[in-house]
Amino acid sequence: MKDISGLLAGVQRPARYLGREINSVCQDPRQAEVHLALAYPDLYEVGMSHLGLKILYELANNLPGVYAERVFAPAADLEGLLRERGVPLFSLESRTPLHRFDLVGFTLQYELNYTALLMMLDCGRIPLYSSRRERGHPFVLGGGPLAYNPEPLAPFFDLLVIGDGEEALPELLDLYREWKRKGGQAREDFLREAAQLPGIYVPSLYCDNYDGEGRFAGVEALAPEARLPVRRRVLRDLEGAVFPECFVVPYMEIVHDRGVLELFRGCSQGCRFCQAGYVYRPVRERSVAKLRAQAGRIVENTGFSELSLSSLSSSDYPAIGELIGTLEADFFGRHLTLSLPSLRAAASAVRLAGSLHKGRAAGVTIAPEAGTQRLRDVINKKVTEEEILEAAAVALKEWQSHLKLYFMLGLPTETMADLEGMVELVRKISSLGRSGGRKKGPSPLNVSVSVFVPKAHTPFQWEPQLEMGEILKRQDFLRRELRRVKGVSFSWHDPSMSLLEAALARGDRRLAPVLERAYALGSRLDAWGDAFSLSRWEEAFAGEGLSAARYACWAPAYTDPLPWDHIDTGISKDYLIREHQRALKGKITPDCRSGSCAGCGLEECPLPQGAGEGR
Amino acid sequence: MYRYRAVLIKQGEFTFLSHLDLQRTLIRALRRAGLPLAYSQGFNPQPRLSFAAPLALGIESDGEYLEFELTRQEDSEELLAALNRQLPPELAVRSLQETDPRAPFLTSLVEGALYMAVFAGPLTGLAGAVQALQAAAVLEVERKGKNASRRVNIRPFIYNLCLQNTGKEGKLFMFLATGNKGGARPDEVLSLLPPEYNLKQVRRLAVFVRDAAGYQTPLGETLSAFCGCKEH
Ligand code: SF4
Repeated sequence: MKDISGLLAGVQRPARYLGREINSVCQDPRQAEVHLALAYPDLYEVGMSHLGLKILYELANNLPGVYAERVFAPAADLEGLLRERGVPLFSLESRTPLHRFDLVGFTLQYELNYTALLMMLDCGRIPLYSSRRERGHPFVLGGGPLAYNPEPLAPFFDLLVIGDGEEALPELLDLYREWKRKGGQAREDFLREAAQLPGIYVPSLYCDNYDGEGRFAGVEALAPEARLPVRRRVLRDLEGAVFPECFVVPYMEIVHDRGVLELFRGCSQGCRFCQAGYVYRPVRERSVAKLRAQAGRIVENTGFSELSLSSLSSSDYPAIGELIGTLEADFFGRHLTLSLPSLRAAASAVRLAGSLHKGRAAGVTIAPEAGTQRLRDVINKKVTEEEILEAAAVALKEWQSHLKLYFMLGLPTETMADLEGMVELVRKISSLGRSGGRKKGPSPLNVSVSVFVPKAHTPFQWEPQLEMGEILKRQDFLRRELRRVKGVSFSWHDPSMSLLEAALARGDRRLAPVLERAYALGSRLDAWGDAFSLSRWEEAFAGEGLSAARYACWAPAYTDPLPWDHIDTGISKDYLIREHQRALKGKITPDCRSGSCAGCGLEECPLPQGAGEGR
Repeated sequence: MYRYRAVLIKQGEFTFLSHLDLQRTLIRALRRAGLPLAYSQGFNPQPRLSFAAPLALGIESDGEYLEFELTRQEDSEELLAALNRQLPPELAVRSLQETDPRAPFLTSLVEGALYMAVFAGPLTGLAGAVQALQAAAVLEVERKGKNASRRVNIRPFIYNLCLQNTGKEGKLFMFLATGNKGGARPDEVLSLLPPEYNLKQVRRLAVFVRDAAGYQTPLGETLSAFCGCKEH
């Protein structure tokens, strides 16, 4: 392995690039028949915190002949050094240059990482566009939630994996191995075969069409092998699925520096703004017995002092009380902290989370999302004001904890009355805190407001993002009003980042050259707000004769073709339309776990599918 | 409560781990080894494990001393072996012993650190330059603060310098103050030498506490065990 002391000496936080952690998989890459880089387009501390990547690492390294390594985005200082010294971006384990891998697979988690992804390809000496890759270049793959609208990235990828990686990746790697054994000659041969695997999208076998006015007019298949639509893969048996029990143990502190259990995949709530709530359906659970066994081995193999009970809404796990009781007994006296990262705004859930910290002020987060019952009904956030107040009271009084409240601004149908309602709700919660007699210190209540971003494959995919001027006006209102509430601090998500996120989230293939331009103009790790510049992005859009605001504020009709229509999540468009209409009427749709199926059309759903409300 | 002191090496690329990284790594190594690390009392219990005298990134060391407490007594040799099974060879534990749990913490006791700088020849004039440093009453270096930099006299923090010249190679041993009463860094001292000498490496050999018998490492080794210079 090459010594990289010279590079490490020249950068901040060199531990990001050191590798060589306990439980990392070290092999001679020349022995591997299939050499796969698992890439994450953000810094080490973020990428290493992502559960999906750990699952794929475990999965791939247990396939015969496959060696999977990690690679993360270099920060600006290392990127500069790599260019200056002519060193290509390399993997963490064997320090192999990216262009020498057989396949490079990116996890697509956040739109604002797209230019970092281009930077990684570029620094790894891989041509950005798949059309310019030749024999000897790696195949570039993508997967993860953003692959559900792959079009803005389509020309950069050879293949995209749609749905659970546990299903499609082993088949794809098998196919690659076969192609390589047969000589690995024409890239096209592999791609055409891969296109026939369920859940694989090969962008070069499709083209995008536009009408005379430049409106998107659909995606067309160019080859007989190209499926239309491409149906997402669904892992049915979470209980039996691969799960890492030997997490790589980082030396430096990462964002989520802990072990993770995945209680279930999917979410039964059906919040209408939440893409994960749709594209990860149906709910699939692991048993307490399984989770208990995994917990024991994870703690033993890693030495982590914290274990997170993770999922999209962990307090919805039916046996949550039993699970926590079992784990607390198993780890009694061993200084292991259990954490529940995503809670329903309900007293029982907050009580549960608080109990894990033994009354220590750890901080509780609840997400009412909207300030009035009317608007919560619109977004199908099934929580009442009473429940929110009760949950807040538990956090502030029983646990003497800090409380963070998450809201969204600019939700469909929002009016000033909803914002006034938000302020009123915060005021009520803050008065709870005061009567609790909390001692002096930082304000116990933080209100965090982000901007609504319409996402593909949700009932709000037909909704525009609020126009920027209006966002700023409403933000001002909140800032002014919340300042007058005692003991409340207010944090704000940069609306220009949300605008870009919205533009990319519902974008089409014409955005690929925009991304390339933004990259050339210096855009990199935009998710780290400090380096973000909207004007740079506006310049990039303008360079292609497009406008970010127009994409963000697009309000297509139900009949308009959408750039992600060719990606089939298994959820019917009829259902999404029905949900959208119910939203506009302020009608809620029950939780899938309540025994009332709203008929989203998903074949793989194991829940009872009787005639539920919302059908 | 049973308290142990240990000394680790830190080599190669692992010199790029920070003090806190090292601390985290050792805590996890002990936990993986199934050893019952003791925790502090209170709202937010912290593992009772700490390293003495942080070292700047990039410097190799034979002397990273740490102290930790277990709730169960363990055989020192087995403990050392168990830890080394959990650590990369570049961070191997060199030596370990049980100590008095009522003694003050090591972090507050360390007063000096011994560094070795190796120069490749030619070394003409180096001995004189070292002597001149020893003879000086005031030696000022620039220290960067958060906003401004200031000039600091580091002479009081240089306990001793001695040069061993084999002709091909020169080893400069620097015994410097460190700890909460102030100190000097090896690179600061080296910056005061003429620039023409070819510096091959800098290494920390050990850190020292002081008692009635003079300076010794937290594990009881004396200065002469490291450099053979006479006049510390
Ligand atoms: S099929 Fe019914 S129960 Fe299953 S995810 Fe869809 S709506 Fe929910």
